[in-house]
Amino acid sequence: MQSVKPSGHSIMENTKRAVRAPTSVEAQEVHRYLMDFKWEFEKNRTKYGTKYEMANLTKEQFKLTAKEYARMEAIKEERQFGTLLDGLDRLDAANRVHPRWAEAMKVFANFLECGEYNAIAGSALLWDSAQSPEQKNGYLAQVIDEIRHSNQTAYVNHYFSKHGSDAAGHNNPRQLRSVGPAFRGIKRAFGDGFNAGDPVECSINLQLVAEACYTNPLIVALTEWAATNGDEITPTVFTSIQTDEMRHMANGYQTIVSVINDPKAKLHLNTDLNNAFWTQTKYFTPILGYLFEYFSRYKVEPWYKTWNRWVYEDWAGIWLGRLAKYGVTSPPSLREAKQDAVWSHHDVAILAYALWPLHHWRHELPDEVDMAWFEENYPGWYDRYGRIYDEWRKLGFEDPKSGFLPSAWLIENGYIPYVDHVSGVPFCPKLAKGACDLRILERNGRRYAFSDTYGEQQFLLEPERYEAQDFLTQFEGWELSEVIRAGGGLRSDGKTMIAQPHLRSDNMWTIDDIQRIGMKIPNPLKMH
Amino acid sequence: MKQGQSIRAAFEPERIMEIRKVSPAEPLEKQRTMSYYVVPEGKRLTEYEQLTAYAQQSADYAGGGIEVGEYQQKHAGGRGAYANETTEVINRDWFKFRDPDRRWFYPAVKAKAEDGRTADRFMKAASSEGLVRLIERDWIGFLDVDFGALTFYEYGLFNAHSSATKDSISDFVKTWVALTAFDKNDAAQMVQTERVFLSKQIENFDADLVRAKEVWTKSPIYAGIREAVERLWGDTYDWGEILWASHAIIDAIYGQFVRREFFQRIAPAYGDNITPWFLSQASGYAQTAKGGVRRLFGDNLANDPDFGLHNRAVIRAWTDKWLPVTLAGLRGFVGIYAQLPNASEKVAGRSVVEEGVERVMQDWATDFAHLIGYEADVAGLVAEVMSGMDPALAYRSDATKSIQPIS
Repeated sequence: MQSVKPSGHSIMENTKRAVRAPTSVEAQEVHRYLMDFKWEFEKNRTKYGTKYEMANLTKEQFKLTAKEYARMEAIKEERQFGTLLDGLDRLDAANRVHPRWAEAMKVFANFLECGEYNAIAGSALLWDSAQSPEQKNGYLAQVIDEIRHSNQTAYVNHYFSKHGSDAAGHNNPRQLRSVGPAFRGIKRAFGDGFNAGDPVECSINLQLVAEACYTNPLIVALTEWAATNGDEITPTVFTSIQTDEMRHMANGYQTIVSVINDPKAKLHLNTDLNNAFWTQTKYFTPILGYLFEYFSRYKVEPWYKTWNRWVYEDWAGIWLGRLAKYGVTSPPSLREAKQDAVWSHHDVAILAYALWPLHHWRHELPDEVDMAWFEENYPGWYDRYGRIYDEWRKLGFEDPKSGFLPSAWLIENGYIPYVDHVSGVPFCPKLAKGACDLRILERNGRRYAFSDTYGEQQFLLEPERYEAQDFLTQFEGWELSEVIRAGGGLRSDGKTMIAQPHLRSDNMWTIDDIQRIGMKIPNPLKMH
Repeated sequence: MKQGQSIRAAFEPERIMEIRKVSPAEPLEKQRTMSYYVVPEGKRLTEYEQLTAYAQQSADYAGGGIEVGEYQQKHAGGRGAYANETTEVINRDWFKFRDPDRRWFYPAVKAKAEDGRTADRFMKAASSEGLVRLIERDWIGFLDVDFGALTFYEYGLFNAHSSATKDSISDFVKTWVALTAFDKNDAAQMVQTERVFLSKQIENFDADLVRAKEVWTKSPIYAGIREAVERLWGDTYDWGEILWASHAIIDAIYGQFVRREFFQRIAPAYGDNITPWFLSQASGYAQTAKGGVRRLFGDNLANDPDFGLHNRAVIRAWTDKWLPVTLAGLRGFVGIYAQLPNASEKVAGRSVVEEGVERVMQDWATDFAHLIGYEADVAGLVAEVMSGMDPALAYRSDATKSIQPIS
């Protein structure tokens, strides 16, 4: 052992004058050293490679340490759960929500949960790929945020299950969605789109488009639609979620900053942005409009206005405008998207009504008040859609003894529904007023339908990434009640269906009513 | 009506009455437990289980996955987001794993926020009483350099978790992996927090990591463990292997020794009662991780009714791979004892160090090796590590001087 002169027990000569003043360490004082936590080594490579090169020195904007993050988030959680479990419980808030809107939350809460959950993996992908410690830190905070949001959105379903007037559908959405046709699109846009691909492409999908663009209507606008329909639960949770989203948008911005000096960025960035925008908008533009307008008793404003404000002006104008100096341009598919914002949700709505037995929510047809509002705000709506709803009503849409299924009516009347293969969104060329151009491709003995060229191009470039079966192909030939049973679509009495074509407590459809009809799932692709 | 101007129905009597009129008189459904179809770990489904189970859309060909059919979009080449081939271990049902601490976001973040507040109170109290005055000058170099090197060790292990967080096949596993990674990140930051804290009170103690990084990357004391961390972070793709090597081998052996047997034991001998306090949080996180690792690799994988034998063979192979590099890392580290100036035999003598190594290795054998039926010759492992204390292998790492072998 080396011999060193004893130093004694006093280091007073080494201490600062303020040695006995209470002192602590702020998060920023630790964060400033974060870039030094890294060291260079030969095999320091990412496991998920990207075609871009992410810079070594990119900074993050929020500069949180783990402890500071926890302090901040714990306060938000305390407020949120205090409000839910103390304040809103006492007010019996779940039973003050309009029943129509409570049904919408069976979809909103669970589908948003899909995005939040898959963003855990998407952010981890970026944490793996980033080179800069600060950038890794930003992505890590997002990983943990997404766990929060996944738990929060699940908690909305948990809350309605426990306190609301119809727990069915709130209590098992993850089971039901695993089979149902409506989930495929969200799984593509908000699931796989976030975490299965080039990490930068995933970042563009997740942070630059989904979060910077669609969380505004999905989370911010939605809270107003909720509150105006009596729902104070959703705003309590969703506005708390949105407080984290700004950090995620900043992460997306920093992703672009980190790759922009790479010459390859000029080759790929705008193409990736267009693909990502198409992927997200193809699902969200129709689905959000459908849920807002068709599940609300009290309307806020026509969906296209909300879309225009948040997507066209705020995101495409302001947010992308900030990135223009890096060579980022508006996606070409924005033009079709703007057209879709007016009509595509109506196109999807009629198909959603047609497929009602396969959902995990109850859904009543538009009544006179709704129809008047639709016609006022979307001139021509009645002639295209309203008259069909009226006819369905006359044919016994709501009556379990009628033997009427609107999906069968559509096919009998030549309105053939397809599933757009890349987006997972159903469409009917004969009915659609939104952008729609049916295209059918054959590959390896299988047929695929597309509703526009953007999705078709993605498929043609990398078909192995999109070769999944769609719902209609997967369940072709199944009798409808078998699919419903397989998905757990029955209430706890084992007979009454979760999905209903009306909101009344009487005359509810049972699985026997469906079985009696004996409808088999068709495969429209075989009709060509 | 325009956005931002709508009426909130809960505060509008007319609307309240309209809603009441169309609301059902009685609840339509009696099953009020969310995710009621999930098999609970205990007698009743916990909130943790309700919120977590099947949030991940693993395809039905992944053990326990309930998504019918394939992923809608895949990685280039056709692999799905959550794929069986991301790990060699196989589980009949990945969704059966439960974090023994039942952490979902709120309890996890609440606990860490409490840790943060406790640390803040400790720093204020310790500085108020001038606790740094007790620290001997000779120890300060170790806090600057060797304690600083611990930042890199923790940070490297933390980063190894990125692909494991992405790839893990179920929600219960993924949530646990992410929160465990978060703890590792915190552990790295808390080392630096202490160094900043000291820099505020000790003249000429600079919190920067320049010398610590020089030693971490160049000193033979750290060469072994640094290589292990680098291989895990940059060159290991199997997420199961990453978790097992991180927590069941590297941190269970090297991390435990460095935190508990070296810093927490040696620091007080030099009047430093601050470092043991700071490290107690990282030690706590390591024990939390241990619980999850034992549950996942023991109950769920080693004892899987269909694939237990296969899994044990795989995990033993991983152990064969990572145990030698970890032992090499610890063997290099124990050379540090030769640098301790005027250290008492009671804390730094060879027999005392050997007892410490034995404690760690015995704990490791009990906690992890036995879990998978791995034959561990504890005495042999201890001897291997202790060879690092032989004078010829001892180097000084104190970058306040030059880095050179002790003559």
